[in-house]
Amino acid sequence: MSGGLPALTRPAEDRTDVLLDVNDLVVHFPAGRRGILGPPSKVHAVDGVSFRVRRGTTFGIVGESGSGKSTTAQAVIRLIPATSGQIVFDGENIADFRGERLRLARSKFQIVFQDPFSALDPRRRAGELIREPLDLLNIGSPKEREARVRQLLEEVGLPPQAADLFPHQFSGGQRQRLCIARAMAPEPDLIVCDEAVSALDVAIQAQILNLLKKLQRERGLTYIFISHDLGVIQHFCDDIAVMYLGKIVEQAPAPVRAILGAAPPL
Amino acid sequence: MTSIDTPALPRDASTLPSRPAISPTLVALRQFCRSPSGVAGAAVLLILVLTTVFGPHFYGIDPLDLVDAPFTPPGEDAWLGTDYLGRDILAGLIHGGRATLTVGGVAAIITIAIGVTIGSLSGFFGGVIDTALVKITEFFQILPPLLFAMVLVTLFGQTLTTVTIAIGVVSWPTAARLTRAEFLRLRNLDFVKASRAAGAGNGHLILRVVLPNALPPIIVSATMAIGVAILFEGGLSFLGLGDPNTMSWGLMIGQNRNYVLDGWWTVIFPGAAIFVAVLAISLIGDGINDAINPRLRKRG
Ligand SMILES: Nc1ncnc2c1ncn2[C@@H]1O[C@H](COP(=O)(O)OP(=O)(O)O)[C@@H](O)[C@H]1O
Ligand SMILES: [Mg+2]
Repeated sequence: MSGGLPALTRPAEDRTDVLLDVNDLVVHFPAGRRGILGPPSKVHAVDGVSFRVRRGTTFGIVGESGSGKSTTAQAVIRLIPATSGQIVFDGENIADFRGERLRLARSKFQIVFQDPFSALDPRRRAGELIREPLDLLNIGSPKEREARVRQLLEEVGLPPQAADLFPHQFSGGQRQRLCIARAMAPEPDLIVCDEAVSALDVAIQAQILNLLKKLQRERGLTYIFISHDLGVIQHFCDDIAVMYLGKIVEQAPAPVRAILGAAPPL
Repeated sequence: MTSIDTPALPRDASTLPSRPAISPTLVALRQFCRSPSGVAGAAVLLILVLTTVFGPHFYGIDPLDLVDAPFTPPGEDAWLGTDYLGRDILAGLIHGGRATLTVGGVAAIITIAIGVTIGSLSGFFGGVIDTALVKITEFFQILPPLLFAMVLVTLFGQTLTTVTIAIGVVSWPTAARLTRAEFLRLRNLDFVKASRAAGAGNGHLILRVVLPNALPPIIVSATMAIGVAILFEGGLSFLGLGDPNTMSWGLMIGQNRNYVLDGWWTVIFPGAAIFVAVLAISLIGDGINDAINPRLRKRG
């Protein structure tokens, strides 16, 4: 891959296969006051969540709408401020990262949202959007970035001329491919897929899931895969956590996958 | 779920258009050109601007010279008559338009600059910053604008610069509230979060991601702010608080207002000029609004 960040040198001994270790994560949102003078009340969106994600695997989070899945995932990758808790990513507690250190660390964890319509800036062309992380994180020379954009489009199955189009010119599935290409651009270790296929037709869902699998096989990517569809989760994930009212109420390896041995070799 | 284990990944280029669409800005511009009122307003404003810019070269009378007897009615000697001192009204309109339109434009720029800065910081950061800035905005909003501007002009002198700044300083709260509302709407959208995930800092997010998407209503309000500022300048001059040494449409009305009955032309012509300018500007604002709203509806 041209122009990537130099690979981090990893000390061999404390190198477990755990990429992400979340400890007692709490996220509260302010929700006004009870009465005029009452104490400010809070929504306990995430209420003490702990889990581990092994490198190169897919960690599924399933749960009904409003159970705190998105908040958990976005707090983990520092898009929503966490109230408390530890987020150990690749051996470092990124919950403590601030300012420029946090900004630069972002190349290692990316996100693909549910709604590919709102996840792409309507005023910018696809090529610019895919390039944005490379520009902002200063990855590669301008020439290499152009080449990388073309290569990423190729990898997600879009033709090179797609770079000049605006988001509204793509179909939903194509747009989700763009979002994936953009998330892949800075060569992250972890990608959060927040209901990434839920808004798509079933046939397109299958395509996107296959694309994600292919990328995982080729790059050893780690996914946090969020869905309210247990079927998709069971099929796609290595470990599954069930969330309910801001807590993980059940956590287990995916039974179907384990029994059938359907997992592709990593 | 159907089977997701289809072995090969199908390329997805099926329905991809072969040519890129024109940029959203050009789409809006094209749409604006289809709006009759917008185009009419723009044409009228263009004529006014060209007249005030090039008019003095063709009509060589100084607007402050006493060229004829006071209250000479419109006719051979002076096309639009003379005022209470015997100054030429047409020269006043041409030269005064330059001052009035400049005050309008610059005051609108000040209004938008202050309003957008405060509104975007307030809406983007929220929390304590928002609370403080909203308090400041509310403070400025509850002051009666004309009275406040009069105080400023009285304190800092009756010059065109002071008048312009005073108009800007009293007008920004509306722009600030509008910008804040747009930022509140946009800041939690996925594409803003996606940009942050892509390594964007706050400055980049505010200026390059959120602001361009908040711009359409801000542009409309900037256009309207020009009209408001022109009216404001007229109002201040009418009350005798304009710059007495610079001819402007407002000043003409203000200085001649006691003599309306002796010579209607002294007040009607500058009044009509203000009316036409403000009308043209508000037509342009409507045209811009029409041009961007279909797209907003489609996007939402
Ligand atoms: N920005 C916010 N402000 C206040 N409450 C929020 C905010 N975002 C989410 N919530 C609340 O947090 C809870 C969890 O939401 P979310 O994580 O989006 O659930 P899920 O993704 O599982 O559907 C919900 O009750 C939701 O209303
Ligand atoms: Mg969600």
